[in-house]
Amino acid sequence: MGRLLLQRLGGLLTTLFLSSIVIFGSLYLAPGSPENVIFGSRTPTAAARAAVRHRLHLDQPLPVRYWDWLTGVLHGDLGTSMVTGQPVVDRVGSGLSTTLLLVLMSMIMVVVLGLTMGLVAALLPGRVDGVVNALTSVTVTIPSFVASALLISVFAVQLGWFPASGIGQGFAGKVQGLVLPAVALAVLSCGFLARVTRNAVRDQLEREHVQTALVRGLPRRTVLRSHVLRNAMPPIITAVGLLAAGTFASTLVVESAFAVPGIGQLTIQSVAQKDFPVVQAVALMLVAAFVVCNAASDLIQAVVDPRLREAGSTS
Amino acid sequence: MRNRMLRAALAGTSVALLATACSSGGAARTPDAKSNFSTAQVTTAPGTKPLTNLTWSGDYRAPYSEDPVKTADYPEETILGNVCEPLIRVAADYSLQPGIAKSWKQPDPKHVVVELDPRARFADGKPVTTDDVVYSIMRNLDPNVASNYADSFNDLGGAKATGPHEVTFTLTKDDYIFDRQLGILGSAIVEKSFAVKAGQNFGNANVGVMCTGPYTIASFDGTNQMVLKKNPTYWDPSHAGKAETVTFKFLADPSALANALTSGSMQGAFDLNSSVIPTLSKSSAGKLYIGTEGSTTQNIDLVVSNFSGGLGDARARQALSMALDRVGIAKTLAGGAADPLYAVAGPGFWEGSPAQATYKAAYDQLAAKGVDIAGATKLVQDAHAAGKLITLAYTAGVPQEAQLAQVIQQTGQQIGLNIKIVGLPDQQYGSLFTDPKARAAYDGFLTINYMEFPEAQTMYASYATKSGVQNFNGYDNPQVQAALDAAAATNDPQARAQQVLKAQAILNKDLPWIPIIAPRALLFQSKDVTGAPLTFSYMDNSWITAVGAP
Repeated sequence: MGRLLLQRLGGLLTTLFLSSIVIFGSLYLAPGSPENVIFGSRTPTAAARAAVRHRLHLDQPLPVRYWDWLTGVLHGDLGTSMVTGQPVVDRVGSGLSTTLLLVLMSMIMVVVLGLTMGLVAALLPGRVDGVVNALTSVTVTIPSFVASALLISVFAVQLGWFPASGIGQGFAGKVQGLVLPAVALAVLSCGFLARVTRNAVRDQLEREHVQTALVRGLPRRTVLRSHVLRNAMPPIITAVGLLAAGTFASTLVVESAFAVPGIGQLTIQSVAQKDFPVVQAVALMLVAAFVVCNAASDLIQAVVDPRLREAGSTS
Repeated sequence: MRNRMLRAALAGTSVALLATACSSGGAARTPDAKSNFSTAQVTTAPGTKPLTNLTWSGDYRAPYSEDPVKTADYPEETILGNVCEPLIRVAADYSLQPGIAKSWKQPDPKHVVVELDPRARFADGKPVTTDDVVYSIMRNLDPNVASNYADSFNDLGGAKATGPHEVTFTLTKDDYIFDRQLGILGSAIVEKSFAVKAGQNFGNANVGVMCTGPYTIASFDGTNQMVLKKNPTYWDPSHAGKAETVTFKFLADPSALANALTSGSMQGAFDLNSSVIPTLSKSSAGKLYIGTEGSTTQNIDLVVSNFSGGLGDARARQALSMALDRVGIAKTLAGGAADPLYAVAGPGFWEGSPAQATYKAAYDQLAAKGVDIAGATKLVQDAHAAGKLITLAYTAGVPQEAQLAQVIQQTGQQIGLNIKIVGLPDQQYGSLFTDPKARAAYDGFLTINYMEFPEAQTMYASYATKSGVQNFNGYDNPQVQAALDAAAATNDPQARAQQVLKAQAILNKDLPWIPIIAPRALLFQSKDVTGAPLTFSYMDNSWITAVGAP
């Protein structure tokens, strides 16, 4: 188990390092330059442009700039935003907790509702299964931006239960403001997880050892818990991991629809502005979220399934 | 000389898609938006009672800097005038009023003498000195400051203190429009010692600014919101703010903005996108104000940036202009909240001016020409422009811009022009205005332009004179230059109008820019507050002070 953890940590660092090179490089190759943002609408003199480029170190070759950034990060300095001159930590920090809370709320909904619907559908074939199937067929086709529009018009504008825009003060206000965005994010994932769960459980129910156990007279509840669910977990855990990672990326769209002050707006803007240090910080957080979610799902699998632990690797 | 264009709105295609998905009507299906105030009405009913907090739209993105001269675009120009007052105050009807400058006079065409109000103080209590004024204005000419308003001061030779409270500006040309430049954000007065000490960090969110305005910046997270608080020691009690704090939020998505306004979480917004008209005109939370023709100086044009390509021959440009169905475009693309535009400086630049009748007579003649496809086709053939590839760029972030580009492409097809349209991401589009290399690949691009004050001379000078900051194609016509110089050199509105119209007549033949439509003012104000100006005068000014509870 310890070895697996170490391996995963190594994998995370390697992924982050490689991604940072790719992101930095592709941002460098993309057309445009951050100083154009600063100059607004006015063509600057050559001297003014050169002065600003020098101040932002844009006149340095790519490897030097990357190295400066990397050594900064290793010393705990994420740099300053090229556009606003604020420390990156300040720009990212103000929205990060909101985005994390949004993802957490959304994933709780996905796991609770998705698992329940999937289990119910698998255990109650016939009419219930049909209804769940129909429901999930619809929800998996609703992207978060469509869900946002619907939710805003029904629950915020017509019923007025939740704010249509922004979040309130304090933790309670924050949570209330994030309910609709979280639902918008959860709709598609819920349907997906329900389907995965239903199929995995169905698959196990038909297995011979399950049938045998039932015939031998073991209580149905025990069979379900020890034989069916436990064996059905791996695909479900993998799905949850992937969905959680994907939810991080989807927050960008939902945050701007609901005017949630998370890191979504910051990400979109900083990429457009080619604000290197901010893009690096935000993009690497997304990469890290992806890797961590996947690693977490593997580790949980290893806990659930001793065979994976002994093999030492789950890749 | 001056300003600004792009309004590089929206920040991503998915967001743009959402905007279309959300607006229940959709601009294209909206019937003619009915204007509900006349150009004679310059402001909503003045606020009378104090407010604890006012939440307003800071437009489509957060300001890049708190330094008033760094970037001239909607967010900065909407907010920063409340923190950093320009030397001269501009009222809602665009008239120049005493502010930090108690009075000013122009004894001869090349000198402007300003008398400072001895009461004027910075937020830290220090008095405004002539030194601060000279420093603040001259910053615009310092290449290291890279002021976005530098072109407004093209005619400025120097500034110096000529008395304990007197500053004299020396101009290099006869210029009776210069006093207007003292009312824009480029003339915001900053405390010299503070700015010098902060150096390049002046205006960064963690350093801030030191100005004289009725508000100071309490907090700014760089992305989502900026909070202003009332300056308790503001030097001019008659112009003090009514709201204790003012929160600006930055929503890129028009439908998210509409939701914020209808649900009351935001109390007002200027410069709305026409796609929100159906939602906001029904809202009981407040009132959507829709202006009439000429209610802003905004103008949507095709900038011809390359005179050696398919649009190089003036006849090809005339043909395209002749064939554009401006009335149809205004109706369908902007939901009726726009008017056909027949000269770049249209009614928004002279409505209410003493020379209005003169301008209007000339404009009506241009408007009467109508669409002429057959004539345009013939011109294209005469110019041997048929089939030559013309590449036009537009900003892909704004759905209406893409539609407009398609209309232009189809119009070109009708008359034999081979037009290719390229949608650019916002930032790349923005570079077209600042970087000649970025423009090189295109024959032209679409722009939503504006000026901070209605003066046709200034609009034309910005793209049709040698020193014009928006002269992207190297346009140089001695007659136009002479007429615009003469227009600036006279203080008589009629004489100025005559000169401007002389230039306008030539520009409408040469067409370095092709005017298309002019948006109408669109602003929303909650029923809980009142006092917002209805004109474009909110740009660069401390407009918040008028807003209070009804």
